[in-house]
Amino acid sequence: MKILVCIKQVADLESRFQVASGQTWFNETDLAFRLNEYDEFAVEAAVQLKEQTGGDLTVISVGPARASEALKKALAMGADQAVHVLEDQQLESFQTAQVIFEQIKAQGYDLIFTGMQSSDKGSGQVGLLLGEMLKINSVSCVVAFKYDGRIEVERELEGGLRAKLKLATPALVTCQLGLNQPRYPTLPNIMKAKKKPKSEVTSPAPASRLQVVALGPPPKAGAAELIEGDLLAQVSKVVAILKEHKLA
Amino acid sequence: MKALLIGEVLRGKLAPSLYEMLGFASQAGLESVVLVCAPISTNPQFTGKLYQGDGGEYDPLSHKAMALEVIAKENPDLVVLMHSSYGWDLAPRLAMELGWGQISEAIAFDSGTFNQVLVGGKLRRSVKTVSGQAVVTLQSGAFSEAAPAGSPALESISALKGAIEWLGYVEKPAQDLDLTKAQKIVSAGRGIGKADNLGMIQELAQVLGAELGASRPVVDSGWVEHSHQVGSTGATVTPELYMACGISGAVQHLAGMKKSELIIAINKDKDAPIGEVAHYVVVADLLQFVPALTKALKA
Repeated sequence: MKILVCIKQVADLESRFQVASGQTWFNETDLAFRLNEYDEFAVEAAVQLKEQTGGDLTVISVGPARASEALKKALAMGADQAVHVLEDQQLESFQTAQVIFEQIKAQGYDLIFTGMQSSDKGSGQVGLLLGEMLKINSVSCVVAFKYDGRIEVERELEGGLRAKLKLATPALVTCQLGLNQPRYPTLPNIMKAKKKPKSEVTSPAPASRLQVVALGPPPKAGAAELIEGDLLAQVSKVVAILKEHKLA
Repeated sequence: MKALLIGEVLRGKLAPSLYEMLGFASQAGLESVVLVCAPISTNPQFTGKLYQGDGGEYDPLSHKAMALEVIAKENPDLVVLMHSSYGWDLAPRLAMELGWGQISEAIAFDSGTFNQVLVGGKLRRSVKTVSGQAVVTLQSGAFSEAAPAGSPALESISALKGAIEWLGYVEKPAQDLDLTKAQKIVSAGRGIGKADNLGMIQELAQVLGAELGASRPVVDSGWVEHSHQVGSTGATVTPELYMACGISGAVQHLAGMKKSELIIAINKDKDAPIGEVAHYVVVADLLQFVPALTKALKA
């Protein structure tokens, strides 16, 4: 079985973000980057399937040189080889999906995993667009996954409800948080990952279908009163607020 | 200008979010045509045309085909869905087939551009599509609902057979805890750092007579049961007191608690998006503040 997992490296959301000149993206200097959290679940699902079926697992990412760290993590988690499509521009979902499609269309993957969305943009488009480009079955927001010749999944709906579905391969699933428990790469596996095949390629991106008009911080809501300063003063203030509202 | 609004159906009922889409269309000055791909018990009230399909409730291939058929007849400039499990799944499929750009989870619309949230609410951008035609998904609760009024002209549309087999809905397990009835909630977020620190949040909850709530990452990490989860995939709560400990305020979490009467957030980052809905933000390390508050309340 040939398995693919698509991953993205994203800025850590705990960072402070400043708009870069050009007004379409944020300044990446001094930011920490990590493997997109949703993609960790996708990698884990792909590795588990490979362990179950004895398949071959490729990991692919589109991004600048720094994205190689995310690929290394996926290799250390159990992927067999990595493809890094070097891209310094900040692509929109359609462009990313098209770039991945061009790389993999002739490969005949049986199963493709992606995260349900990236934590930086949250569009939730790349996986489904890729499935459409490949003209294969796809299902989004999967919180349970089983393979027994066909795949059986549960999609997460709103309010705790799920939908159970069965579909034939080839197929693509996008993975929601909580699908599994992503493993931590062990030191021996991190060492082994260094010897796994990695290829770097370039591929021209199509024109974007979106135009960013402006980017900036959210308007200050103004509603929240900040309680700053000395710890004990903060505590007294909160106790006073609770008492005022008859909550303590 | 015309918009095709695609309503969603859950267990034979049309989701009320259709009125948010109608509200958006009316705000944007668009004529509305509605498509509902599966049978519904009661028709929506609006003035315009309602295409009624006879498909299953989740069947992407068949829903895509029905939408394309209606789009070919109606020539809309915008196709609008909610940014929900139904909408975010169908929208890219339509965008791909139409060759249009897609704008995900719009929170506002102003003179031809849509606003979106980036990096967990810390930035916003305004975007439009290059061609002017767009598939758009709307954030739940972002647009005011249109008042139900009028009676649509009905037209039937037939579903083809899809490729995904529907095995049914899976209920959430019965839960002892019903957060929606809690008068006070103290919630833990990713900022608590590790499971061991949950104890101090529980202790504060106990002292206040509050239930323990949690954000999604805390539940996904297995630190607490799903019944404690607040947000769009958990409980939507409106207690008298909501204390958010180490919760930065992802839109999905805010959707589940922003209508609480008094919201006090404890966060190291004074700019955390939770501040958009909180009444007070205590700028502090919760590992120090929470035990100190518990101690003061016990005294």
